[in-house]
Amino acid sequence: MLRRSLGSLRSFSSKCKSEPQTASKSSNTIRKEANLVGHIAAFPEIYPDFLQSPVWNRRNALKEELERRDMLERRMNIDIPEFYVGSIVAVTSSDSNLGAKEHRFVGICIRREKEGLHHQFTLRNTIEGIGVEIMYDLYNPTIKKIETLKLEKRLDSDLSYLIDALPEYSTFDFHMEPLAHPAGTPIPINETKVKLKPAPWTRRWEIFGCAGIEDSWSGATPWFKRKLQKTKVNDYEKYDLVAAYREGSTLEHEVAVQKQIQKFENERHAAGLTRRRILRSAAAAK
Amino acid sequence: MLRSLVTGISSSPAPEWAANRLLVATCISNTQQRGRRRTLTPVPWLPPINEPAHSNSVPLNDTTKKLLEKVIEREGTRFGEELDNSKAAITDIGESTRRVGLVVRKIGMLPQWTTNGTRILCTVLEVVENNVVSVTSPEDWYKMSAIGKRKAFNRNGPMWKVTVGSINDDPTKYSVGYRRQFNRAGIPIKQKLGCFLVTEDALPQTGQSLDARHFVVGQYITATGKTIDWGFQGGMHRWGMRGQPTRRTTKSHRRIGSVGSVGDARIWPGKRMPGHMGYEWVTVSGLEVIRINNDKQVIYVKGSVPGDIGETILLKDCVQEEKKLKKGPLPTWIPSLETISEESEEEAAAEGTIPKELLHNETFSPKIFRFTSPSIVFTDADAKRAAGRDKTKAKIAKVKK
Amino acid sequence: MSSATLPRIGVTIGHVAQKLKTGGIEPSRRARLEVLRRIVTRCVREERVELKWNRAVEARPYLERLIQLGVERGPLDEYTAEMMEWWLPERDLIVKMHEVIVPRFAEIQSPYTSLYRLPPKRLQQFIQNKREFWKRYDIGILEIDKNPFPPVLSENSAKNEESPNLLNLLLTDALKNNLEK
Repeated sequence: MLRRSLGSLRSFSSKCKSEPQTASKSSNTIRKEANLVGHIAAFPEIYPDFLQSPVWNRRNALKEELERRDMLERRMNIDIPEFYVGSIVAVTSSDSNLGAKEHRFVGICIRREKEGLHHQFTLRNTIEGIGVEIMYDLYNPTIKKIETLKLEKRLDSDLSYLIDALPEYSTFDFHMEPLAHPAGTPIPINETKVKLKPAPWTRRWEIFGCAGIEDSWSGATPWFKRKLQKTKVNDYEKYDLVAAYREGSTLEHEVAVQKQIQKFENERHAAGLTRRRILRSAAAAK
Repeated sequence: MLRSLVTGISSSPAPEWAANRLLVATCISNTQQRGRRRTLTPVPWLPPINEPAHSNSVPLNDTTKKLLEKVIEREGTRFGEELDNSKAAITDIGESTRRVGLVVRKIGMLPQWTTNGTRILCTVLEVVENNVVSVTSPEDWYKMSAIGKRKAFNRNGPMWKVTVGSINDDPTKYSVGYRRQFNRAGIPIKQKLGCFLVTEDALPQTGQSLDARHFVVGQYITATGKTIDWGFQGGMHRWGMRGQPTRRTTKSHRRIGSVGSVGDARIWPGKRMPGHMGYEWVTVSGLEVIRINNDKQVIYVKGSVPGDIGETILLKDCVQEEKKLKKGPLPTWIPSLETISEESEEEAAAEGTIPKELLHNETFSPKIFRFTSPSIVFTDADAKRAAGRDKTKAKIAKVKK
Repeated sequence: MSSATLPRIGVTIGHVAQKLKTGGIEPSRRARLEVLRRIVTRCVREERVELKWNRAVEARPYLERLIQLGVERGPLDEYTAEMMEWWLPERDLIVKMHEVIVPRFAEIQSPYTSLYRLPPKRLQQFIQNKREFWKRYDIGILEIDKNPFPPVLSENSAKNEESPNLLNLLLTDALKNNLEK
């Protein structure tokens, strides 16, 4: 009997249901917290491996925490310097099948991708006229040493187009002396514009709008130029605020990660295990 | 108390959860088939998906809600009765013994490295608040089920049905019948249920909590779950067919191509075609446990398990002869068994410099690289032995004289 | 400071963009943005708008992010200026955004908007052969907070205190008895 009356109540309530999601009245605390922690403004660029996955389904607080613990433990054993896409980096890694048991590769960092323990970076160099790209897992324990020989950025955040550029743009000396970056100065941006080889290219660089390519349009063949007319140029997609938000980082996450790193460092320093610092920024250093 | 209260409100006593379950008989045929028969239903001894309470949408006002929370909280403090655990021990596990499993949640995939630098992609599984909900004797459960005596009394002897629940939840969400089974076991209401067939010598007690250390690092496990629902997919995605060229063909780039021959002008049953992909009940066996985080109750398993991230998965021991667990906690791991693994902890304290309180309590497979140790350095002994002829030299026939 | 990462918006967003009916425009991702742009523009002008529920849900995060850009980065930021220019094609609205709406939320955390659900409405679709075609729509109200209009919810209804439900009374008594035992 009562259940029936409940049912009728339910139908009544569903006729006019209002689920208000009202605006907040609380004050903005996250900014204050960020200032308190000393939030590094360039966090997403310096630590792309500490960001969250752009696929929201793969975000899980517990998994990310465990993952970060492993990453920090690894960073206590190996010095991972600050480097960007466009910096010149040398990596020394162990290899059981070489006579010297280790291998050193110098090249320009052309890509940094994926988050967490999955993080990868790719180095490119030209050896005896042949372009070589090596992809390293940042947290691979066979990596013995990572050095930044020249700390700088380029005009793009992905230099994959160097594969189609003239070889002189990706030729670097293996015996290059490391150039020290004066602390506290902003990271220099190398405004080199590369010349591409004549088409065909591995990808159609002219439609990506890369800033670091010199006049890619005139290098494109007439066939591709005609094709561009038919191709959808999705220039409006940059206005999709929520799509950018979905893939980007948030201040809350960065502050939380920075806190965890600081706590980890302080614990290790207090225990007298190491004096290595994980959290630092060449541009913000005093 | 709460149970009797709500029963009083509903007009008729709610039916037992086991009574209104939908049973599906699986007919197992041994004839060979082309393609694959999709298994959409779980095994019949699994419990049904819980039914939510109907009174959920009644607009309770704030005072009533607060009172209800208080009562629920008071009910919750009664849990955690003492169980007699004198039987539990780490012993040899017999040939025909089947232990319980765990109901876990997949939380992601992470790479790990071995001590020789090989990358292993692992699935990370979280064991959330697992408790034994009920233990049913073989006579009882096979009579309630449609699958007959053969499953309950198989070659390993009589198989008891052990229901395991995971993830504590708000009791107001569920119906009376669903809640009753947890009240009987004296445990909080669980969100997910799973069942395992267990032999009598490995029976856990009702209400017992299960730990991630139920599994031993290095052992092999079997994972069961629902695969990702991809919906209707073409032959290329569903069966991995090659498709057709991108050029010099019209409107058939991803089509499956020919489906039969001229002779018998029909399509053979089981021909692989486009159709619904995923959302199947799939079991993957022979996965190795390589790392267990005891503090966070997380198991790292080598390889991938069926289902998306966030899905519930059933884990149990692998039954293949060479991958069976030989020695482990029987019937299950309990906190008093921890003292046995003390020697390894002492070792770690002696060699490692990092104090134990800074690290999680973890167990690693010996072949896994620990991130606390320095980078891997190889010696001459690690180099790969040339397996055959030295290929840098020309092949010269030996002339016998 | 200008290029620093922004905090979260206090609005849930779906894991993928939802399709919206685009009226006269040929359906595409661009058309979807056009529809959302109209809603956002209208919302900034009128401060409280009545919409189909799914459109209100979809447009709210865009509006929220736009206001947040104004609050966190100010009118001088390059990216903010570009976004404001595209999302608010009418010039006076950009001025209104920076001088009227943003100062309201200077020290307040997101969300800056509210969303209410109204009872569904039947609307006439079209008339064909003297037959009227009607369709039922879920309706929502999207508003920018601290607007000059009277509040949508009365203070009583916000409290959820006096429910005329018999079950509430019975249950409250029963629970009280239980706690006393």
